[in-house]
Amino acid sequence: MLFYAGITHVKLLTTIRRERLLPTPGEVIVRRGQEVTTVQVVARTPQQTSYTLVDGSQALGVPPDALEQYLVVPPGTAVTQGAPLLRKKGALGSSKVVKSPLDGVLYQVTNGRIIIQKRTVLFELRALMASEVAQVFPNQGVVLETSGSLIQALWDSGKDGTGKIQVTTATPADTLAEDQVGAAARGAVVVAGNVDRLDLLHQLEDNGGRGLIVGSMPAALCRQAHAFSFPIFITDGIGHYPMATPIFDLLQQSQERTAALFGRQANRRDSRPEIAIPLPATNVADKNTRRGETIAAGQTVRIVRARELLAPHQGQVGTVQAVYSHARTTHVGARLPGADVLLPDGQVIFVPHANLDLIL
Amino acid sequence: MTPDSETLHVSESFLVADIGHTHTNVALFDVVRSSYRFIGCAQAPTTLSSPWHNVTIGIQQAIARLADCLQRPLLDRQGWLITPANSAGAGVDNFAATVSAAAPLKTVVVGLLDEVSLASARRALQTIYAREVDHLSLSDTRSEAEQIDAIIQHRPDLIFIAGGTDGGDTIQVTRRMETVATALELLAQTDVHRPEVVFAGNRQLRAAAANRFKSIANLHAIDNVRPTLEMEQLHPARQIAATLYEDLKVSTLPGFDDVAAWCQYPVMPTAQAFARISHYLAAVSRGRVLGLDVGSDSVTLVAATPDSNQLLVRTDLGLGSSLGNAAAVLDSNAVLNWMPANGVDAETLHDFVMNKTLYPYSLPITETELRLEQAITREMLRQTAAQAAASWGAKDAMPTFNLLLLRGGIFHTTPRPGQAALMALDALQPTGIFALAVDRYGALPALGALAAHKPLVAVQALEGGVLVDLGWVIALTGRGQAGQKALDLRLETDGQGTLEVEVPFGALEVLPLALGQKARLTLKPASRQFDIGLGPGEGHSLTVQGGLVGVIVDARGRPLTLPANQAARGERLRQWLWDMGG
Repeated sequence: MLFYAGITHVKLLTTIRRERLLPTPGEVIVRRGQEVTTVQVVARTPQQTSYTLVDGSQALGVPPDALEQYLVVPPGTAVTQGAPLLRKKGALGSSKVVKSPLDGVLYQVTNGRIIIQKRTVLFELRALMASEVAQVFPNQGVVLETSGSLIQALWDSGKDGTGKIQVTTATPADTLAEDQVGAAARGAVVVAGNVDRLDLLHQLEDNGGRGLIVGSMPAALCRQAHAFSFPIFITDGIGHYPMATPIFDLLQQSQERTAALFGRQANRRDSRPEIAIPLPATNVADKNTRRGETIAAGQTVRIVRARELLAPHQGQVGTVQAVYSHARTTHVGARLPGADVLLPDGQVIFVPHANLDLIL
Repeated sequence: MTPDSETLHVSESFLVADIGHTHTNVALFDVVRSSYRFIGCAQAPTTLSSPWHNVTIGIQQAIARLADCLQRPLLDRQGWLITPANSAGAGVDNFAATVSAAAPLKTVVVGLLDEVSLASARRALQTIYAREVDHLSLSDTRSEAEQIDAIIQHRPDLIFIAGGTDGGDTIQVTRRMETVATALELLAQTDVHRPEVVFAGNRQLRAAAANRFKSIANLHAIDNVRPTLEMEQLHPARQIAATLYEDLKVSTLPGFDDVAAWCQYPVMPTAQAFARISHYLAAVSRGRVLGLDVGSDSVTLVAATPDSNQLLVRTDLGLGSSLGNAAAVLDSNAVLNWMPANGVDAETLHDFVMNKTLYPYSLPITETELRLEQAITREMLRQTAAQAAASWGAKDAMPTFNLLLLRGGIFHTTPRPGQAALMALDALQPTGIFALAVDRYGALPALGALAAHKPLVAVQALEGGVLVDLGWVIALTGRGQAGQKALDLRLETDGQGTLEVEVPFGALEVLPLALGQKARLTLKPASRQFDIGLGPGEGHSLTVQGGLVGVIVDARGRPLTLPANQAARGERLRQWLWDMGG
């Protein structure tokens, strides 16, 4: 009997391919095959802007389709607040003038109205990882490719970032403490088992932290996380759980290396946040799994729910000992197919397949 | 019940996949002893997310599981479906699919009055997987520039413009059209994204709409959803919305091309397929069917009669990846009020909800988790039912019906079937006499998809036991003193004797009647204070068939009232749970 589960990639050495796409179409400024650095801009686009409308037709008392002949400056011209936009000569040398209400660009004239775009700044999309441009999507972005370690996280605060990995807690179960977000965190992506204090996030921001990776964090903090300037990544779950050991171990091995934190891609509803740690390597044979993996004895699995709500088994990593082809009765009386999982403390527990996540 | 026009000349097998956001189900129907039967089903995680980004892989996994269970080869070595079936018994003759995995259509709704044109537009859109991201109406206090900014920022898939009765207002509708057009002009300059625009307002403005939107959007000018203040016509709007959803969302699912190449029939949204099979059941039984589908990403409610079919799809609710959105809609206290035991606070609930969002396929294996999921479900259903009642213009909370269909993992994976029944009764608070059944194998949308093309398959598979009966429900209305006699009930079974019960007001009674066993049920309210759906004090006699639960008498009254005191409330909820079998 075949049983499938969710998959999380935690790979020491693999080929990393990552799409870097602009939020709106713009300009790609690198070419295929080009080597890029972490901070290099690969594409750019005007940042989301806002507009103001000026009803010129009504102000001058002219038909909408006649408005363009009264323009003082053509569309595309930068205008300052108070600068004349329209001028209509009247009798006896007088003239009616319509002025710009703000600094911006006279964007276009449509149906008797002038649209002024507020001044915009360019949004610059950076590579975030030293890599090669494997593919270019004109006006949209690129695919970057390199080799290195890859960790699929579970949740992110909606931002990308990069920095040197700084594992601050001794074990994957330890909680982030005050002395771990001090001045030493400047420029670092701080790693901890979990975090449960909002003030520590503020301190990390104040001290120039570039990112935070934790195993878990309560929902209350997740709701606030979007406001921070640096990315916050959760690898295992919401609440107060340890980080999965393989993830913690890999991050420990990557201490002081530069990591790229890629948040979920806005254009892909079901994408996952990823932590990429480029490494110099050749002949990387390990490609990401694209086909289904079935649950089998000997596989490493993460338990996504456990015997008790918010109890220690959640997020624990173990090894599949036996897979049952017939359903077994769980503690609540439901009959579900599952597997026996050997935990690091030697305990063997039955876990339904639906609650297993394969770590590959 | 077999349609005369279709007879079983050729034995064809049918494999139907339902691609949900979390799980993909496949169900196989084939001929057994001259009649179509449900042969088996299997499930695998949907592979829309990383690392796969291809729904076909999940279908192949589910088919591989089914083939493994049935010991019947269905895929070739490359993983492609063997079709048609060969003489060695491998493969299937027909493949069809239903889909709810696609993202909902992001819509901006434009109208004049919130209660008139905007309400009609929303009623049209609630029949598809759509999510309203903004709306423009006369009550909108934003400046026009802010409205334009909002449209640009949302980058909607669809802008639905209603407003103005035929021959009525043109100025205000034109003003809103101009706002939308300006936004689209600006959007077109920076983005290749080109939203669809449906114009379903004052027909006098159709030509103006066509002229204004011709170079900036794909315009669909259809009949006014509100031709007069008193009249509403939603059919054309629903049709175009369904087509747009299929074109923009379903057919662009990663891996969809492979699935479509296997299909002999058009791929159908799951909600529409569920509505169709509910309608089919209503037509066949000449009764009223209420269908309820709690999915990972949506909640669907269908009210079907032999002549009509009403559908409500809530994409802001759902027990998987949509649960994060639902948390914003649901009141934590209202959810926790349904918890039979203390010990869960709002923060724990929020942690639980987010975890479930991130691991949507996971199942509860502790009492607390189970009760939390069921409490959340009750509140979702209650909100859905309330919206449906308001939207469908029902005077009562819920229209009466003869069959209540329950669909979704929360119902068919409950440890005890009584829990599924109790969730539905608590949340919907239905009244009258009706049968209760669960789509245990998740095969109903599959049959809905086939019903239009192969009605014989649908009819025979339904007769063959795709649905699992939970039993019958008698839900009475009226108010009385707790413990006061509300109903006399007599249950006569062949060979099993007769059971006579006096049901007190406030009680929830379950009378055993085994699955498939028939009995004669005679009901007589104790006084005109009580009504079993036939009028105050009116009795009734009918033949019922047993189910996994039995005959349920819900004499708790309507609306249900829970004690304000937490301890007393928990005690009451535990008692009801106990009454229903734990």
